[in-house]
Amino acid sequence: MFSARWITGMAAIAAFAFAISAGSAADQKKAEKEQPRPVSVDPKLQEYKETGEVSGGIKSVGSDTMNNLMALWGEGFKKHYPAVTTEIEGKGSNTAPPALIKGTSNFGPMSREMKKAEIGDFEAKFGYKPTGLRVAVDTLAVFVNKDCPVKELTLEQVDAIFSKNRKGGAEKEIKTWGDLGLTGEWADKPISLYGRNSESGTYGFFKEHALFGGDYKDSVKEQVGSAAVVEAVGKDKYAMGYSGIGYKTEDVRAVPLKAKGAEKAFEATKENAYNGDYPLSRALFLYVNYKPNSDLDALRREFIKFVLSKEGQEIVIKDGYYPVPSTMAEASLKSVGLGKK
Amino acid sequence: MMALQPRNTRRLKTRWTVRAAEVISKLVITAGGLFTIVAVLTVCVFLILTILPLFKSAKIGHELQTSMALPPSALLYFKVDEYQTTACAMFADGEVRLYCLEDGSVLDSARPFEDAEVCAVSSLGKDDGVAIGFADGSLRIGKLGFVSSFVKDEDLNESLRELVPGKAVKFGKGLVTLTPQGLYRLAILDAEFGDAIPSGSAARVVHVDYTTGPAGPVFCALTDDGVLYVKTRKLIRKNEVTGEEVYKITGGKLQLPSREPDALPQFLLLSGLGDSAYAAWTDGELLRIRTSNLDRLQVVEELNLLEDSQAKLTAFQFLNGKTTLMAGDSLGRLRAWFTTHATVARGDDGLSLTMAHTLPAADSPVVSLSPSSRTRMLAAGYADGTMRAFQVTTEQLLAQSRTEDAKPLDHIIMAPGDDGILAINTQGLSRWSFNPAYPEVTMRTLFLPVWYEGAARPENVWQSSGGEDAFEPKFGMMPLIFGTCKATLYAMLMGVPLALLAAVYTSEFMHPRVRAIVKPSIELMASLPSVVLGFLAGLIFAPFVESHLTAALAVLLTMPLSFVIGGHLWQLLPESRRIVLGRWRLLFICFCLPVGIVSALVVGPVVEKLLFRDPSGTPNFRGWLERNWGSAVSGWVVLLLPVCAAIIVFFIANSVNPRLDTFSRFWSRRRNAWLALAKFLVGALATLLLSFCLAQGLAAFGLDPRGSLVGTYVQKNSLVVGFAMGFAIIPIIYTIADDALSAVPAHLRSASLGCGATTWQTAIRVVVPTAASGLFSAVMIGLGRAVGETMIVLMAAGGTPIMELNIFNGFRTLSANLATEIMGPPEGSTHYRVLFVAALLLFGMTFFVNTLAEAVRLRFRKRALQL
Repeated sequence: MFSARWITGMAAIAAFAFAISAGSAADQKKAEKEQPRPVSVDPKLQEYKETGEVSGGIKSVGSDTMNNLMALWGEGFKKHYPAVTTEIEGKGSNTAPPALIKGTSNFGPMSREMKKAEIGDFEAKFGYKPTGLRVAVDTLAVFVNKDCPVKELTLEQVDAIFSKNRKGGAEKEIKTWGDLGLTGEWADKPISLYGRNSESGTYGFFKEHALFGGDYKDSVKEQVGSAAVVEAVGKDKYAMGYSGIGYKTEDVRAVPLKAKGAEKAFEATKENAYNGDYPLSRALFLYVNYKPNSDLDALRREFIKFVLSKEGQEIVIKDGYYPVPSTMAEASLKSVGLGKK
Repeated sequence: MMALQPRNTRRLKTRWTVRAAEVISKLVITAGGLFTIVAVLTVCVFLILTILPLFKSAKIGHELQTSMALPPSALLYFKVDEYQTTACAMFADGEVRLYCLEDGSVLDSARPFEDAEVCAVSSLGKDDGVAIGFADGSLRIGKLGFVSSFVKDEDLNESLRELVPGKAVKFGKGLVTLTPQGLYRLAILDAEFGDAIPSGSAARVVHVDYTTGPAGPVFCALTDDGVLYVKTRKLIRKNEVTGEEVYKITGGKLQLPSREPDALPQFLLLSGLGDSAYAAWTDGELLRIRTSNLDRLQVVEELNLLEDSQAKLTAFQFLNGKTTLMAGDSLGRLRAWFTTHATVARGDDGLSLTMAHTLPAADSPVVSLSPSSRTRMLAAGYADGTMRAFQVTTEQLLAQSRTEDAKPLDHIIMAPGDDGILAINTQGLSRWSFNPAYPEVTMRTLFLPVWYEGAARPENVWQSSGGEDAFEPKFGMMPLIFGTCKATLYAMLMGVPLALLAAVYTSEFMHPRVRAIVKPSIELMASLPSVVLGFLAGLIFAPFVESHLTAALAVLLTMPLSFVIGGHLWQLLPESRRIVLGRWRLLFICFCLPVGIVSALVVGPVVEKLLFRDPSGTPNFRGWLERNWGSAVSGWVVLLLPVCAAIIVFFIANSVNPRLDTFSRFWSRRRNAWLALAKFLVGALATLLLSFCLAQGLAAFGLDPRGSLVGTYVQKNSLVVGFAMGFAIIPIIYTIADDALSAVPAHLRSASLGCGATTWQTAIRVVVPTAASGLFSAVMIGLGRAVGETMIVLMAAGGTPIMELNIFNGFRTLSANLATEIMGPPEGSTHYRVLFVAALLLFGMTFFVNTLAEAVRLRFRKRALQL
């Protein structure tokens, strides 16, 4: 009797271990994806210079898209100021405004701009609007499995795949890969759709720009994190999903996208993001509670300076996103009173 | 013991320590029980208190009248800032003014176009953008609004220092207000207009409208010769040094048909994406014009918004998001229209304009409309001076008020923060403070289908938030309730038979020594955290089932079959051998497990090859599920197998067995075993035949399982969740069922066995009926667990809030929805409170199921004690 219990106990432990090891395998895969990219930061960006002693805690609540980015920035910042502690929570951009308002965070990373209602709530408490700094550039990508032969998609097609309203103007709904012109074994396979949960800024941005404000089909499987979307697309051969480009792994491929009325489809690259050819390029924001005409406290001031420095933007590249051009960085610094004197 | 110590027999008093312990434990237990009840009630009360505000009605304050210095020329544009302190206006003579709302005085004024006559002004809706049409046929786009900044401490003067919060004071050409937080906010006029853009003709511009489409600004204008011009502006170059921007303007035009009695349309609107324009005449006639291709503007749909001729279209305006059209008429009616993908499209582009909402009507003509800029609310002004606020999706009248002078409310404005309503008539400005409470939610929108923008019909939808202001939240609880029921159903289908049969087997047939090992091990299964089960199901089991789909489904068939056949084969063993090998019986049966799995790997593809071949001849079960080819028969055959098996078993037990018994009872055991095997094989064949016939019949009636019971295969689906959650509820059902069976008094068993019944007969006819209520309560407690289960459904169900029975697609349960969304919404928001409605529902469901189970269990205990 004892032995039987022991065996089942061991089985349970084995299952645990298996689960954990599979989880860490996924982490490893993420680490592998960080291959060198031919992207470099704007040479006009400032170098980061340490100034005096900075201590305190960076508390960030918000975007999941920027979760790794915030963590990496936090680590980089700690190298300069070991006394600083970091606490980073990324459950979706929708969680950023409430945390900033309640004061439970001092940074609110968001992958979309704040809505009027959110700004209104903030203003009702503080009397001024929150300040959004553009700290990185993302090309929101439509991912397919690496084995998928799809060459490119128009935004109207993306809309007809993901949306039930088809506000982009496509005549017919796209349900199977055959509807996209694929043949053979792909022709009759339905497209398995993955997306983010509604707390996510990526969800909102994609809805506004790829679905033209239409509604998602009910069959889009909502995942709690961007990593889960990419993971699912990598595991499901007939899947399609969207997430920030920073979460790309070797199992998925970002499809070139063609805007309405554009001549051709564009890859999700830095150049195409900067000049707006890639239709789903966006800025990633770091929202702060900055009282106008005042000075930021040392911690937030130095962190923002760090994020928008060469070093901070190198980290952006390391995480798979694109750095901001120096003009954008300058404008961001200026909006919190840190511009060049 | 007692007899050895006679001294103690005389002491009748209980020791005080025992009594004290008794009292203390009684107190502790009572307190604990009371505390539990209080805790449960508190949770319940807390949930209800959080939900109640949802049903509070909107509040409107008293009218506040201010006289306003209005020039003689017509007011064309009026915009209020988000703090309701200033307003800017544009008049027909081209004058732009900034007003102080407190006293109606003019703070600043300008004439940006000198003496040019302004004919039409339209706002962008979301920002300060405006498009202006002039009498000379030219257009301008630009910005007309406010800039707010904060006055630096060193710039504060005497009058500012004396300011009290909530009051305003003139400062330069602007207005300064002191915020409650002690900041001096300065609002000044922000008017900036681009160069004149020729419309293409010299005719007077009658209407303009303006929007920002995905590719940049789009604006349209109608000139008094009936020509519609649509133009876009694209940035082609920007000088980084000087900041100078060079734009390219492209456009197209369309001559609108001339109609009687009014030649020109009274209203012109351009949709939010800039892909369609709407021109409406006062008699309700509407043209929908496709503007996505500027070289070829095209009328795609023509209809009359007012079926009855005596009514006149008196107000026509977009709702927030510029997709839904609100049409108000002279009979006081207000109706919402939007384009839908109807099955029979009226428009040439596959869309039809559909009337989706009718708002409560008034007695007086609608004269002005103003949508909220962040929600689906609408303010309407009427000719008799009434002001009303509506929520369009729920078709609710939120509030109404009437001005004292009862003059028509020519201009009505919903304040940008939805916290006030303003109206301008000839007498001046009227203001009402407004608190809409939670207008998006009513009992009806929570539980009944609602007609959301762009949908072809009212639907039950859960889509709680979006990233833009124009988002229409969809708080339909039904998909979540449905998902919860679906998860529970499939988990129960999977778990209940296994758990109950296992309990019967272990308690009635298994050797007590083996049982002593088996029971704790099954109970140990319960210690497996559901997150691990969910992880295994979602990330390992789901992809595996997807790649071995037919085999995975065949297992459901081959597994029971291999056990039954195994049982028959055991019976066929010569008696002497069977007795010798008796102790290995369980091992032999266990051997059937791999046999069942291996045979499924063989049977699955074979069945697929036989029944589900696509037109090219390759087996393709997933393709068949898509409903593009193949007949319904093959699906029915498979689906009906369990039903037919049950029918055949019933038939054999009731009609065949009694007859066979009359002569087979004298046969040898071995012969009987052969007979049983033959009976089984004939029965299996009969099942197949019966299901085939029934399938033919059902298919002949045009019934198809695809689209209802089965359908498109999705990797994370109910089948996977059924397996995983079945696994999760098996231990709890098993334990309680086994206890119930063990609690059946041994004398009943002995009596039955003593009368010559077999163990099987005793188990099925005596023990199980006696323990029935216990078994029922076991099932109910399993049900309670399945209803509230979160992690497994979160990780393995895909999270799609759809209402389809299809076993091959996913769902979203109340609990999984709470887990994903509770982090997002700010406390006290509509979404937050609606999530608490979900929580209360979940609480109610589990509470009901568990209470029922407990009640039944108590009854069963009483009965068992009586035996």
